[in-house]
Amino acid sequence: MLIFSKRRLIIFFLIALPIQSLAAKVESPKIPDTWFILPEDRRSNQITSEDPQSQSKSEEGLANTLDRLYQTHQTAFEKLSEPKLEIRSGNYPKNWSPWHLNSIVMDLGLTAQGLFGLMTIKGTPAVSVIWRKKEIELKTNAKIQTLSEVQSNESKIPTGTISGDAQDSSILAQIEPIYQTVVASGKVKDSSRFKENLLRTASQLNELVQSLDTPSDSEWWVSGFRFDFLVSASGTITPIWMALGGELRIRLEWRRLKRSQPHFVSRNNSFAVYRENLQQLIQSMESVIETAATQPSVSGSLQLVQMRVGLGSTVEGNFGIAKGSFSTIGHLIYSKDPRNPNQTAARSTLAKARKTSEASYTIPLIENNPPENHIEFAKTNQIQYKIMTNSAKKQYQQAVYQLPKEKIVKGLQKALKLASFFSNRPSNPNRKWQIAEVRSSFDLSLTGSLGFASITGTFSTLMHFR
Amino acid sequence: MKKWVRILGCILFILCTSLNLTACSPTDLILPLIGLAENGSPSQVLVSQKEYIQRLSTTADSVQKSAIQGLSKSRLTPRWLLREMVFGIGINAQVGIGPFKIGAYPEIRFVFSNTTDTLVP
Repeated sequence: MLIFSKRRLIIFFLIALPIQSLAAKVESPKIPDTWFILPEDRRSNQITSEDPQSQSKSEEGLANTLDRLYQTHQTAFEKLSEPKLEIRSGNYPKNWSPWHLNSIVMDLGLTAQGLFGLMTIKGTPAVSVIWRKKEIELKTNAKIQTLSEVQSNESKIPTGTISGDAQDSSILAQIEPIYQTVVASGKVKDSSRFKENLLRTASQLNELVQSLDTPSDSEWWVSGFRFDFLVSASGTITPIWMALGGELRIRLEWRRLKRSQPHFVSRNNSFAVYRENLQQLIQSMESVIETAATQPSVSGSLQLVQMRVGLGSTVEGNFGIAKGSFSTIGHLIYSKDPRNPNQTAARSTLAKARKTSEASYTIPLIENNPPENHIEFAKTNQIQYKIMTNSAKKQYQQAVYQLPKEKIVKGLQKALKLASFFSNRPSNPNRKWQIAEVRSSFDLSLTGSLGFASITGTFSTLMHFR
Repeated sequence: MKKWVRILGCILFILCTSLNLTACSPTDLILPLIGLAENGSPSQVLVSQKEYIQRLSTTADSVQKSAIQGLSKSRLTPRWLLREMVFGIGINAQVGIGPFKIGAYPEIRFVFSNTTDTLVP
């Protein structure tokens, strides 16, 4: 009897332990720390090197999980039925087609511990994956969208889009929709004051944007500008990071057009300093992006076509790259377009422009209300920085770090490699639905490195692959 | 003694199999989702791949059919023409202890358009 009981125990263990070991293998891997924790946010103030062995193991597990996530969605989308598309006659635009399901978007998020997955809550996506049927992608890919832009997931923000050749007289008409939207929200009590402030802000920015002379023989050029503001109940317009709570957010965007004529010269000399400063930043980032994007590591089926860089402003009125969304006043949208609009007019002034930009070895990184550990990190690692305080009623501290351009290039190259990990995955070519676009959100470190934005974090740089 | 050995063996067997991280069978693959834990902080939730595919494809198909049917009835007016519509669909499981735990409500956005120059928001 005793021997028979022992046998049963042994049999139970023989069955139970393999099942337990199988279950133990079902676990989700973490993203390597170096992919999302910026050096200044790590516990030690010293810049640490990556551990290749553990990173390799993480990457392998991550790749398997990611492939499974993609395959799951691809399998689900293949089961979608083919709806009957209605064709109607009438006076429709040239680019009209019957209503159809064009794209499916899924967001992947990252927790503070480095665990990733499909987002089911509001927050910042680290990676957005856009699926599209191959037949639709072939039709849309035939034409390069020179005026295309990357919009954020916050499509609820009232946005005023101003064309690249807008004159003062047409500004009012172009901002009318955003004015009407804000007034209709009921959140602004003094609508006439708001209109006055909106028109003045839009006109000043329009003059600044239009007066920029950014000739370039680079494939990368600034195809758009975006500025976000907050509107209070009294109709006052303030930069977005000065939020007190309860304000309404609005956005003004400029889409640059191809320009075959010489650039528009601002009649307002007070903009001269701002214009030169912004122009220098634009050109510096242009060369940085071009250098980083041409590296072999970014090759693959999806290519980088657009980059959105956060724009910050110092208390002295100078421009730089913003660190995190709390320091951002807007964005520069860089697009890749072989049909460079300024190419023919640019070459004679290019040499002069390049010399100017090469003279600035560093690019300013602006951080509002910097945490103590960031300042300590800058001191410890001999990063040049300056602390400033504004003189307005609501005082705030601001740190401006000077980042060497080559470090930002290295950071961008790393970010491109990380982003391509998500964008260039092997897929079944016989399936109807494929990954057509991928967008990755990053924040910039004081070392020039970039890390994925976490779900509760902020980002200043967005890369768009297509 | 024999009775206690049997009981002990059953308990051990149940413990070993129920220590799975998910309620899935060992052969069922899992998917990671980011949801909200009980304390309100973002955390990872693992769900059954098979059940997720079934729920997503069913929901997506019905949304596609009804959306296209409704949008196709929109009329061309002199000044305005609707070009894009974005639907966010959520897939949840509320019955029993199912694979989707509290705070996991996967959301996918569907972009419908009637243009060849669609901009995805």
